[in-house]
Amino acid sequence: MTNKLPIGIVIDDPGLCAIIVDKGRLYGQERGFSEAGPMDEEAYFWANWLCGNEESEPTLECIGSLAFTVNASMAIAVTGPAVKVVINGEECSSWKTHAVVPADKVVISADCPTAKMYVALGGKWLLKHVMGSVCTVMREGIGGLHGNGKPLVTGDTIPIRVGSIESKEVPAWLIPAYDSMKPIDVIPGYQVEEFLPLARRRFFSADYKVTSDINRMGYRLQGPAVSSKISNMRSEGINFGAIQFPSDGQPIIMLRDRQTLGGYPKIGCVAPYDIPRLVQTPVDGVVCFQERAADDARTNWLLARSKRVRYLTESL
Amino acid sequence: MKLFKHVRKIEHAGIDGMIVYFSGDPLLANQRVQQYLLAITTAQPKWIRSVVPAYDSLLVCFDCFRVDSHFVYRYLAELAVETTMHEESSHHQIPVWYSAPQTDDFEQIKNHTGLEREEIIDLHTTHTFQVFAVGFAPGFAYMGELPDELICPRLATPRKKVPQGAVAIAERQTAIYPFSSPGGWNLLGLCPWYHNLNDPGDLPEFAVGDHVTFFAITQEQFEEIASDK
Repeated sequence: MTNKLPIGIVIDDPGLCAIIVDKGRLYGQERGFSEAGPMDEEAYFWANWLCGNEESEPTLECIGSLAFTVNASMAIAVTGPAVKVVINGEECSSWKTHAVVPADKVVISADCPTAKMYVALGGKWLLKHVMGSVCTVMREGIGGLHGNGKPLVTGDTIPIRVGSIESKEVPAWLIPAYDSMKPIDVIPGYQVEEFLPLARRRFFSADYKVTSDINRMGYRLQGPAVSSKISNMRSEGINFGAIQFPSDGQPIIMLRDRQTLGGYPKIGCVAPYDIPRLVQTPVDGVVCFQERAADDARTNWLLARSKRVRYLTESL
Repeated sequence: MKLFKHVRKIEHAGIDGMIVYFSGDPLLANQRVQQYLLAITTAQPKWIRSVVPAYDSLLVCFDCFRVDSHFVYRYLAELAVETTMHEESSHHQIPVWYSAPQTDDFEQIKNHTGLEREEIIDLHTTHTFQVFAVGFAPGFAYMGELPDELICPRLATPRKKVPQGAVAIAERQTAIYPFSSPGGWNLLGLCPWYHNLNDPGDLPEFAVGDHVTFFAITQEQFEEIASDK
Protein backbone atom coordinates (compact mmCIF):
# COMPACT_ATOMS: atom_id res chain seq x y z
CA MET A 1 0.00 0.00 0.00
CA THR A 2 2.73 2.40 1.04
CA ASN A 3 4.57 2.21 -2.28
CA LYS A 4 1.76 4.20 -3.95
CA LEU A 5 2.12 7.00 -1.44
CA PRO A 6 4.57 9.90 -1.83
CA ILE A 7 7.71 9.02 0.13
CA GLY A 8 9.31 11.65 2.34
CA ILE A 9 12.35 9.84 3.67
CA VAL A 10 13.97 6.41 3.66
CA ILE A 11 15.52 5.18 6.90
CA ASP A 12 19.16 4.15 6.37
CA ASP A 13 19.96 3.37 10.00
CA PRO A 14 17.44 3.64 12.85
CA GLY A 15 20.13 3.88 15.55
CA LEU A 16 19.29 2.45 18.98
CA CYS A 17 15.57 2.99 18.59
CA ALA A 18 13.48 5.23 16.36
CA ILE A 19 9.71 5.33 16.69
CA ILE A 20 6.88 7.45 15.38
CA VAL A 21 5.11 9.57 17.99
CA ASP A 22 2.37 12.15 18.00
CA LYS A 23 0.38 13.83 20.77
CA GLY A 24 -0.88 10.46 21.95
CA ARG A 25 -4.25 8.85 22.62
CA LEU A 26 -6.83 11.02 24.27
CA TYR A 27 -9.33 8.22 24.52
CA GLY A 28 -9.00 4.51 25.15
CA GLN A 29 -7.46 4.84 28.61
CA GLU A 30 -10.74 3.66 30.11
CA ARG A 31 -10.23 0.51 28.02
CA GLY A 32 -6.62 -0.02 29.04
CA PHE A 33 -4.78 1.67 26.17
CA SER A 34 -1.74 3.74 27.11
CA GLU A 35 -1.90 7.48 26.65
CA ALA A 36 1.39 7.41 24.71
CA GLY A 37 2.73 10.69 23.23
CA PRO A 38 6.16 12.32 23.08
CA MET A 39 8.45 11.89 26.10
CA ASP A 40 9.82 15.44 25.64
CA GLU A 41 6.76 17.46 24.72
CA GLU A 42 8.74 20.70 24.26
CA ALA A 43 11.19 19.26 21.75
CA TYR A 44 8.29 17.58 19.93
CA PHE A 45 6.26 20.78 19.76
CA TRP A 46 9.08 22.93 18.43
CA ALA A 47 10.18 20.39 15.83
CA ASN A 48 6.70 20.52 14.29
CA TRP A 49 6.54 24.29 14.56
CA LEU A 50 9.85 24.62 12.70
CA CYS A 51 8.36 22.60 9.85
CA GLY A 52 5.14 24.59 9.71
CA ASN A 53 3.16 21.53 10.80
CA GLU A 54 0.03 21.11 12.84
CA GLU A 55 0.76 20.79 16.54
CA SER A 56 -0.38 17.15 16.53
CA GLU A 57 1.56 15.99 13.45
CA PRO A 58 3.78 12.96 14.02
CA THR A 59 7.56 13.20 14.45
CA LEU A 60 10.26 10.63 14.93
CA GLU A 61 11.46 10.11 18.48
CA CYS A 62 14.88 8.52 18.39
CA ILE A 63 17.71 7.51 20.65
CA GLY A 64 21.40 7.22 19.81
CA SER A 65 21.55 8.23 16.20
CA LEU A 66 19.49 8.21 13.03
CA ALA A 67 20.45 8.25 9.37
CA PHE A 68 18.01 8.75 6.53
CA THR A 69 17.88 9.70 2.86
CA VAL A 70 15.54 12.43 1.73
CA ASN A 71 13.13 11.63 -1.08
CA ALA A 72 11.22 14.92 -1.49
CA SER A 73 11.87 18.64 -1.31
CA MET A 74 10.69 19.67 2.10
CA ALA A 75 11.47 21.19 5.48
CA ILE A 76 13.04 19.13 8.24
CA ALA A 77 13.94 20.06 11.80
CA VAL A 78 15.68 18.26 14.63
CA THR A 79 15.31 19.09 18.32
CA GLY A 80 16.51 17.65 21.62
CA PRO A 81 19.39 18.26 24.03
CA ALA A 82 22.83 18.75 22.40
CA VAL A 83 21.86 17.14 19.11
CA LYS A 84 24.24 17.10 16.17
CA VAL A 85 22.71 17.35 12.69
CA VAL A 86 24.80 16.53 9.63
CA ILE A 87 23.34 17.04 6.15
CA ASN A 88 25.48 15.73 3.26
CA GLY A 89 28.51 15.73 5.52
CA GLU A 90 28.01 19.29 6.67
CA GLU A 91 27.15 20.09 10.25
CA CYS A 92 23.95 22.09 10.73
CA SER A 93 22.10 23.51 13.70
CA SER A 94 19.37 21.77 15.63
CA TRP A 95 16.28 23.76 16.70
CA LYS A 96 16.26 25.30 13.20
CA THR A 97 14.43 24.67 9.90
CA HIS A 98 16.43 23.08 7.07
CA ALA A 99 15.27 22.84 3.47
CA VAL A 100 16.30 19.49 2.02
CA VAL A 101 16.00 18.00 -1.46
CA PRO A 102 15.85 14.41 -2.78
CA ALA A 103 19.01 12.33 -2.25
CA ASP A 104 20.18 14.48 0.66
CA LYS A 105 21.74 12.34 3.39
CA VAL A 106 20.87 13.32 6.94
CA VAL A 107 22.59 11.94 10.03
CA ILE A 108 21.68 12.99 13.53
CA SER A 109 23.23 11.99 16.81
CA ALA A 110 23.32 13.12 20.42
CA ASP A 111 26.12 13.44 22.95
CA CYS A 112 24.07 11.50 25.44
CA PRO A 113 23.17 7.94 24.41
CA THR A 114 19.73 8.12 26.04
CA ALA A 115 18.79 11.60 24.80
CA LYS A 116 15.48 11.72 22.96
CA MET A 117 15.79 13.46 19.60
CA TYR A 118 12.82 14.61 17.56
CA VAL A 119 12.77 14.77 13.78
CA ALA A 120 9.91 16.64 12.12
CA LEU A 121 9.21 16.54 8.40
CA GLY A 122 7.28 19.42 6.83
CA GLY A 123 3.96 18.01 5.64
CA LYS A 124 1.14 15.66 6.39
CA TRP A 125 2.16 12.13 7.42
CA LEU A 126 0.07 9.54 5.62
CA LEU A 127 -0.33 6.92 8.32
CA LYS A 128 -3.14 4.84 9.71
CA HIS A 129 -4.44 5.98 13.08
CA VAL A 130 -5.14 3.48 15.85
CA MET A 131 -7.44 4.82 18.56
CA GLY A 132 -7.03 8.35 17.22
CA SER A 133 -3.23 8.35 17.11
CA VAL A 134 -0.29 6.96 15.17
CA CYS A 135 1.89 6.85 18.27
CA THR A 136 3.95 3.66 18.57
CA VAL A 137 3.37 1.64 21.73
CA MET A 138 5.72 -1.34 21.54
CA ARG A 139 4.29 -3.08 24.61
CA GLU A 140 0.78 -3.01 23.16
CA GLY A 141 1.81 -3.74 19.60
CA ILE A 142 -0.08 -0.78 18.19
CA GLY A 143 0.68 2.38 16.22
CA GLY A 144 3.75 3.27 14.20
CA LEU A 145 4.48 2.89 10.49
CA HIS A 146 2.75 -0.46 10.08
CA GLY A 147 0.30 -0.12 12.94
CA ASN A 148 1.92 -2.99 14.84
CA GLY A 149 3.92 -1.05 17.42
CA LYS A 150 7.29 -1.90 15.88
CA PRO A 151 10.11 0.64 15.84
CA LEU A 152 11.51 1.74 12.48
CA VAL A 153 14.00 -0.47 10.66
CA THR A 154 16.46 0.14 7.84
CA GLY A 155 14.63 0.57 4.56
CA ASP A 156 11.38 1.84 6.09
CA THR A 157 9.87 4.71 4.15
CA ILE A 158 7.79 7.48 5.67
CA PRO A 159 4.91 8.49 3.41
CA ILE A 160 4.25 12.19 3.53
CA ARG A 161 2.44 14.86 1.54
CA VAL A 162 4.94 17.71 1.75
CA GLY A 163 4.00 21.23 2.80
CA SER A 164 5.60 24.60 2.22
CA ILE A 165 8.97 25.56 3.67
CA GLU A 166 9.50 28.55 5.90
CA SER A 167 12.84 29.09 7.59
CA LYS A 168 12.53 29.45 11.36
CA GLU A 169 14.64 29.13 14.44
CA VAL A 170 13.66 28.55 18.06
CA PRO A 171 15.16 31.34 20.19
CA ALA A 172 17.51 30.08 22.91
CA TRP A 173 15.24 31.36 25.70
CA LEU A 174 12.45 29.04 24.54
CA ILE A 175 14.63 25.92 24.41
CA PRO A 176 14.22 23.91 27.64
CA ALA A 177 17.08 24.34 30.12
CA TYR A 178 18.01 20.66 30.04
CA ASP A 179 21.13 21.15 32.16
CA SER A 180 19.36 23.01 34.94
CA MET A 181 20.01 21.56 38.38
CA LYS A 182 16.85 23.10 39.83
CA PRO A 183 14.71 20.67 41.83
CA ILE A 184 11.90 19.07 39.87
CA ASP A 185 8.43 20.22 40.92
CA VAL A 186 6.11 17.57 42.32
CA ILE A 187 2.44 18.13 43.08
CA PRO A 188 1.69 16.09 46.22
CA GLY A 189 -1.36 13.89 45.83
CA TYR A 190 -2.71 10.37 45.61
CA GLN A 191 -1.49 8.54 48.78
CA VAL A 192 0.84 11.33 49.96
CA GLU A 193 -0.82 11.38 53.39
CA GLU A 194 0.05 7.69 53.83
CA PHE A 195 3.78 8.37 53.70
CA LEU A 196 5.38 9.01 57.07
CA PRO A 197 6.49 12.63 57.49
CA LEU A 198 10.09 11.48 57.69
CA ALA A 199 9.86 9.46 54.47
CA ARG A 200 8.20 12.39 52.74
CA ARG A 201 10.88 14.78 53.92
CA ARG A 202 13.56 12.35 52.81
CA PHE A 203 12.15 12.10 49.31
CA PHE A 204 11.96 15.88 48.93
CA SER A 205 15.48 16.52 50.20
CA ALA A 206 17.62 13.67 48.85
CA ASP A 207 19.30 13.25 45.49
CA TYR A 208 18.09 10.47 43.21
CA LYS A 209 20.06 8.90 40.43
CA VAL A 210 18.52 7.97 37.07
CA THR A 211 19.14 4.23 36.62
CA SER A 212 19.57 2.41 33.33
CA ASP A 213 16.11 0.96 33.86
CA ILE A 214 14.35 3.70 31.94
CA ASN A 215 11.93 3.52 29.07
CA ARG A 216 8.79 5.11 27.70
CA MET A 217 6.73 3.36 30.36
CA GLY A 218 8.63 4.66 33.33
CA TYR A 219 11.90 5.84 34.83
CA ARG A 220 13.35 3.99 37.78
CA LEU A 221 15.40 6.15 40.12
CA GLN A 222 17.77 5.13 42.86
CA GLY A 223 18.31 6.81 46.19
CA PRO A 224 17.22 6.74 49.81
CA ALA A 225 14.31 4.31 50.16
CA VAL A 226 10.92 5.84 50.85
CA SER A 227 8.07 3.75 52.15
CA SER A 228 4.44 4.30 52.95
CA LYS A 229 2.10 2.80 55.52
CA ILE A 230 0.15 1.01 52.80
CA SER A 231 0.57 -2.74 52.47
CA ASN A 232 -2.00 -3.35 49.78
CA MET A 233 -4.30 -1.11 47.83
CA ARG A 234 -6.69 -1.39 44.93
CA SER A 235 -5.41 -0.59 41.47
CA GLU A 236 -6.30 2.92 40.36
CA GLY A 237 -5.78 5.31 37.42
CA ILE A 238 -2.21 6.56 36.98
CA ASN A 239 -1.68 10.07 35.61
CA PHE A 240 1.37 11.20 33.63
CA GLY A 241 4.38 11.79 35.85
CA ALA A 242 3.02 9.90 38.87
CA ILE A 243 5.75 8.82 41.29
CA GLN A 244 5.10 5.35 42.68
CA PHE A 245 6.98 3.37 45.27
CA PRO A 246 7.05 -0.44 45.12
CA SER A 247 7.96 -2.17 48.35
CA ASP A 248 11.69 -1.63 47.79
CA GLY A 249 11.09 2.10 48.31
CA GLN A 250 12.78 3.14 45.07
CA PRO A 251 10.72 5.62 43.03
CA ILE A 252 9.40 4.90 39.56
CA ILE A 253 8.13 7.84 37.55
CA MET A 254 5.30 6.78 35.29
CA LEU A 255 5.58 8.20 31.78
CA ARG A 256 3.96 8.06 28.35
CA ASP A 257 3.49 4.32 27.81
CA ARG A 258 2.55 3.63 31.44
CA GLN A 259 -0.15 1.09 32.10
CA THR A 260 -3.50 2.74 32.81
CA LEU A 261 -4.02 1.18 36.25
CA GLY A 262 -1.62 0.30 39.00
CA GLY A 263 -1.62 -0.50 42.67
CA TYR A 264 1.58 0.95 44.14
CA PRO A 265 1.36 3.90 46.51
CA LYS A 266 2.10 7.26 44.88
CA ILE A 267 3.40 10.41 46.53
CA GLY A 268 2.29 12.77 43.77
CA CYS A 269 3.05 13.71 40.17
CA VAL A 270 5.92 15.53 38.49
CA ALA A 271 4.73 18.85 37.04
CA PRO A 272 4.48 18.45 33.25
CA TYR A 273 6.76 21.44 32.62
CA ASP A 274 9.62 19.60 34.36
CA ILE A 275 9.13 16.30 32.52
CA PRO A 276 11.24 17.21 29.44
CA ARG A 277 14.23 17.93 31.69
CA LEU A 278 13.62 14.77 33.71
CA VAL A 279 13.35 12.43 30.72
CA GLN A 280 16.44 13.97 29.12
CA THR A 281 18.57 13.41 32.21
CA PRO A 282 21.28 10.90 31.31
CA VAL A 283 21.73 7.58 33.08
CA ASP A 284 23.52 8.16 36.42
CA GLY A 285 22.45 11.80 36.23
CA VAL A 286 21.14 13.18 39.52
CA VAL A 287 17.76 14.78 40.10
CA CYS A 288 16.02 16.10 43.18
CA PHE A 289 12.44 17.03 43.89
CA GLN A 290 10.50 19.74 45.67
CA GLU A 291 6.87 19.96 46.66
CA ARG A 292 4.81 22.44 44.71
CA ALA A 293 1.15 23.11 45.45
CA ALA A 294 -1.19 22.34 42.56
CA ASP A 295 -2.21 25.99 42.14
CA ASP A 296 1.39 27.21 42.02
CA ALA A 297 2.34 24.48 39.57
CA ARG A 298 -0.58 25.39 37.34
CA THR A 299 0.47 29.04 37.45
CA ASN A 300 4.01 28.07 36.42
CA TRP A 301 2.62 25.95 33.62
CA LEU A 302 0.35 28.76 32.39
CA LEU A 303 3.22 31.24 32.48
CA ALA A 304 5.40 28.93 30.39
CA ARG A 305 2.53 28.39 27.96
CA SER A 306 1.78 32.09 27.62
CA LYS A 307 5.47 32.78 27.00
CA ARG A 308 5.30 30.31 24.13
CA VAL A 309 1.98 31.63 22.81
CA ARG A 310 3.15 35.24 22.97
CA TYR A 311 6.24 34.40 20.94
CA LEU A 312 4.21 32.46 18.40
CA THR A 313 1.67 35.26 17.86
CA GLU A 314 4.37 37.93 17.72
CA SER A 315 6.42 35.99 15.21
CA LEU A 316 3.47 35.69 12.83
CA MET B 1 -10.31 18.71 50.63
CA LYS B 2 -13.86 18.68 51.98
CA LEU B 3 -15.76 15.56 51.12
CA PHE B 4 -19.09 15.35 49.42
CA LYS B 5 -21.73 12.67 49.02
CA HIS B 6 -20.53 9.14 48.13
CA VAL B 7 -16.90 10.22 48.36
CA ARG B 8 -14.46 9.10 51.02
CA LYS B 9 -11.40 10.84 49.68
CA ILE B 10 -10.44 13.20 46.88
CA GLU B 11 -6.84 13.95 45.99
CA HIS B 12 -4.73 15.75 43.46
CA ALA B 13 -3.27 13.63 40.68
CA GLY B 14 -0.88 16.12 39.12
CA ILE B 15 -1.71 19.62 37.89
CA ASP B 16 -4.34 18.28 35.53
CA GLY B 17 -5.87 15.43 37.47
CA MET B 18 -8.12 14.71 40.45
CA ILE B 19 -8.72 11.23 41.80
CA VAL B 20 -11.99 10.53 43.58
CA TYR B 21 -12.33 7.54 45.93
CA PHE B 22 -15.86 6.38 46.61
CA SER B 23 -17.27 5.04 49.86
CA GLY B 24 -19.13 1.81 50.47
CA ASP B 25 -18.42 -1.87 49.97
CA PRO B 26 -16.65 -2.89 46.74
CA LEU B 27 -19.87 -3.36 44.76
CA LEU B 28 -21.41 -0.10 45.88
CA ALA B 29 -18.18 1.89 45.45
CA ASN B 30 -17.77 0.43 41.99
CA GLN B 31 -21.36 1.39 41.18
CA ARG B 32 -20.59 4.95 42.23
CA VAL B 33 -17.57 4.90 39.93
CA GLN B 34 -19.85 3.96 37.05
CA GLN B 35 -22.49 6.51 38.00
CA TYR B 36 -19.98 9.33 38.03
CA LEU B 37 -18.31 8.04 34.87
CA LEU B 38 -21.67 7.94 33.12
CA ALA B 39 -22.63 11.40 34.36
CA ILE B 40 -19.33 12.88 33.16
CA THR B 41 -19.24 11.14 29.80
CA THR B 42 -22.87 12.09 29.18
CA ALA B 43 -22.30 15.74 30.03
CA GLN B 44 -18.96 15.72 28.15
CA PRO B 45 -17.68 19.06 29.42
CA LYS B 46 -15.12 20.59 27.05
CA TRP B 47 -12.39 20.65 29.68
CA ILE B 48 -12.36 16.87 30.26
CA ARG B 49 -9.29 15.14 28.80
CA SER B 50 -9.77 11.59 30.03
CA VAL B 51 -11.56 9.64 32.74
CA VAL B 52 -10.02 6.42 34.05
CA PRO B 53 -12.36 4.28 36.16
CA ALA B 54 -10.97 1.63 38.50
CA TYR B 55 -12.31 -0.47 41.39
CA ASP B 56 -13.39 2.27 43.75
CA SER B 57 -11.81 5.33 42.19
CA LEU B 58 -12.16 7.60 39.21
CA LEU B 59 -9.23 9.55 37.81
CA VAL B 60 -10.49 12.72 36.14
CA CYS B 61 -7.94 14.46 33.91
CA PHE B 62 -8.69 17.94 32.70
CA ASP B 63 -7.34 20.60 30.39
CA CYS B 64 -5.62 22.90 32.86
CA PHE B 65 -5.59 25.65 30.29
CA ARG B 66 -9.37 25.91 30.69
CA VAL B 67 -9.98 25.01 34.33
CA ASP B 68 -8.19 24.37 37.62
CA SER B 69 -8.60 21.73 40.33
CA HIS B 70 -10.96 23.95 42.36
CA PHE B 71 -13.31 24.14 39.41
CA VAL B 72 -13.14 20.38 38.87
CA TYR B 73 -13.73 19.75 42.57
CA ARG B 74 -16.82 21.95 42.52
CA TYR B 75 -18.04 20.31 39.33
CA LEU B 76 -17.72 16.84 40.85
CA ALA B 77 -19.34 17.88 44.13
CA GLU B 78 -22.31 19.38 42.29
CA LEU B 79 -22.58 16.70 39.66
CA ALA B 80 -26.05 15.20 39.51
CA VAL B 81 -25.62 11.44 39.35
CA GLU B 82 -28.31 8.84 38.75
CA THR B 83 -28.16 6.71 41.86
CA THR B 84 -30.49 4.18 40.37
CA MET B 85 -28.47 2.55 37.68
CA HIS B 86 -30.58 1.87 34.63
CA GLU B 87 -29.10 -1.16 33.00
CA GLU B 88 -27.41 0.13 29.91
CA SER B 89 -24.49 -2.14 30.50
CA SER B 90 -23.95 -5.12 28.23
CA HIS B 91 -24.11 -8.71 29.27
CA HIS B 92 -21.37 -10.86 27.75
CA GLN B 93 -21.78 -14.63 27.44
CA ILE B 94 -18.29 -16.00 27.14
CA PRO B 95 -17.54 -19.47 25.78
CA VAL B 96 -14.72 -21.29 27.55
CA TRP B 97 -13.05 -24.55 26.68
CA TYR B 98 -12.38 -25.55 30.28
CA SER B 99 -9.31 -27.67 30.98
CA ALA B 100 -7.69 -27.05 27.61
CA PRO B 101 -4.29 -28.74 28.04
CA GLN B 102 -2.29 -25.48 28.09
CA THR B 103 -4.57 -23.93 30.73
CA ASP B 104 -5.15 -26.63 33.31
CA ASP B 105 -4.49 -25.42 36.85
CA PHE B 106 -7.37 -27.40 38.34
CA GLU B 107 -5.07 -29.51 40.49
CA GLN B 108 -3.56 -26.54 42.28
CA ILE B 109 -6.95 -24.85 42.61
CA LYS B 110 -8.15 -28.05 44.24
CA ASN B 111 -5.22 -27.88 46.64
CA HIS B 112 -6.39 -24.47 47.82
CA THR B 113 -10.14 -24.87 47.65
CA GLY B 114 -10.72 -28.59 47.96
CA LEU B 115 -13.01 -28.39 44.95
CA GLU B 116 -13.16 -30.94 42.15
CA ARG B 117 -12.85 -29.93 38.52
CA GLU B 118 -16.62 -30.13 37.91
CA GLU B 119 -17.38 -28.10 41.01
CA ILE B 120 -14.94 -25.40 39.96
CA ILE B 121 -16.40 -25.18 36.47
CA ASP B 122 -19.88 -25.21 37.93
CA LEU B 123 -19.11 -22.27 40.25
CA HIS B 124 -17.38 -20.36 37.47
CA THR B 125 -20.29 -20.79 35.04
CA THR B 126 -23.26 -20.32 37.35
CA HIS B 127 -22.26 -16.92 38.75
CA THR B 128 -22.77 -13.67 36.92
CA PHE B 129 -19.74 -11.45 37.34
CA GLN B 130 -19.30 -7.76 36.93
CA VAL B 131 -16.49 -5.87 35.22
CA PHE B 132 -14.90 -3.79 37.99
CA ALA B 133 -12.09 -2.26 35.99
CA VAL B 134 -10.47 -2.43 32.58
CA GLY B 135 -6.80 -1.69 32.41
CA PHE B 136 -3.23 -2.68 32.99
CA ALA B 137 -3.25 -3.73 29.31
CA PRO B 138 -5.76 -3.08 26.52
CA GLY B 139 -8.84 -5.22 26.94
CA PHE B 140 -7.80 -6.73 30.28
CA ALA B 141 -11.02 -6.71 32.32
CA TYR B 142 -10.98 -7.35 36.05
CA MET B 143 -14.20 -9.25 36.78
CA GLY B 144 -15.60 -10.28 40.12
CA GLU B 145 -16.42 -11.15 42.66
CA LEU B 146 -15.83 -14.86 42.84
CA PRO B 147 -17.85 -16.86 45.35
CA ASP B 148 -15.98 -17.49 48.62
CA GLU B 149 -15.47 -21.19 47.87
CA LEU B 150 -13.49 -20.41 44.72
CA ILE B 151 -11.03 -17.93 46.16
CA CYS B 152 -7.43 -18.99 45.69
CA PRO B 153 -4.20 -17.01 45.72
CA ARG B 154 -1.99 -16.03 42.80
CA LEU B 155 0.79 -18.43 41.84
CA ALA B 156 3.86 -18.24 44.05
CA THR B 157 5.95 -17.87 40.90
CA PRO B 158 4.20 -16.20 37.97
CA ARG B 159 4.28 -17.96 34.62
CA LYS B 160 6.52 -16.43 32.00
CA LYS B 161 3.88 -17.00 29.38
CA VAL B 162 0.13 -17.28 29.75
CA PRO B 163 -1.55 -18.27 26.47
CA GLN B 164 -3.68 -15.73 24.64
CA GLY B 165 -7.35 -16.01 25.60
CA ALA B 166 -6.63 -17.86 28.86
CA VAL B 167 -9.48 -17.59 31.36
CA ALA B 168 -8.06 -17.27 34.84
CA ILE B 169 -8.88 -16.68 38.49
CA ALA B 170 -6.98 -15.11 41.38
CA GLU B 171 -8.24 -13.95 44.77
CA ARG B 172 -11.80 -12.72 44.19
CA GLN B 173 -11.25 -11.96 40.54
CA THR B 174 -11.52 -13.62 37.18
CA ALA B 175 -10.20 -12.35 33.84
CA ILE B 176 -9.25 -13.26 30.30
CA TYR B 177 -5.70 -12.61 29.10
CA PRO B 178 -6.29 -10.69 25.83
CA PHE B 179 -2.77 -11.39 24.63
CA SER B 180 -0.11 -13.83 25.58
CA SER B 181 1.79 -12.33 28.50
CA PRO B 182 3.46 -13.20 31.79
CA GLY B 183 0.95 -13.74 34.54
CA GLY B 184 0.35 -15.15 37.98
CA TRP B 185 -3.28 -16.19 37.87
CA ASN B 186 -4.66 -19.74 37.97
CA LEU B 187 -5.80 -20.90 34.55
CA LEU B 188 -9.14 -22.58 33.91
CA GLY B 189 -9.53 -22.67 30.14
CA LEU B 190 -9.40 -20.90 26.81
CA CYS B 191 -11.82 -18.46 25.20
CA PRO B 192 -12.00 -18.91 21.38
CA TRP B 193 -12.73 -15.22 20.74
CA TYR B 194 -9.06 -14.44 21.25
CA HIS B 195 -7.66 -17.20 19.08
CA ASN B 196 -5.00 -15.70 16.75
CA LEU B 197 -6.19 -12.19 17.45
CA ASN B 198 -3.48 -9.70 16.54
CA ASP B 199 -5.11 -6.30 16.28
CA PRO B 200 -6.02 -4.77 19.64
CA GLY B 201 -8.77 -2.92 17.75
CA ASP B 202 -10.56 -6.25 17.32
CA LEU B 203 -10.62 -7.06 21.03
CA PRO B 204 -13.98 -7.81 22.57
CA GLU B 205 -15.02 -4.64 24.36
CA PHE B 206 -15.60 -4.84 28.06
CA ALA B 207 -16.74 -1.76 29.90
CA VAL B 208 -16.80 -1.23 33.63
CA GLY B 209 -20.24 -2.25 34.86
CA ASP B 210 -20.80 -4.83 32.16
CA HIS B 211 -22.03 -8.22 33.28
CA VAL B 212 -20.32 -11.44 32.34
CA THR B 213 -21.23 -15.11 32.45
CA PHE B 214 -19.04 -17.94 31.27
CA PHE B 215 -20.31 -21.13 29.67
CA ALA B 216 -18.51 -24.37 28.92
CA ILE B 217 -17.78 -25.55 25.38
CA THR B 218 -16.00 -28.59 24.01
CA GLN B 219 -12.74 -28.64 22.07
CA GLU B 220 -14.74 -29.13 18.83
CA GLN B 221 -16.90 -26.11 19.58
CA PHE B 222 -13.79 -24.14 20.45
CA GLU B 223 -12.24 -24.92 17.09
CA GLU B 224 -15.48 -24.12 15.30
CA ILE B 225 -15.84 -20.68 16.94
CA ALA B 226 -12.12 -19.95 16.56
CA SER B 227 -12.16 -20.67 12.83
CA ASP B 228 -15.46 -18.82 12.34
CA LYS B 229 -14.08 -15.45 13.38
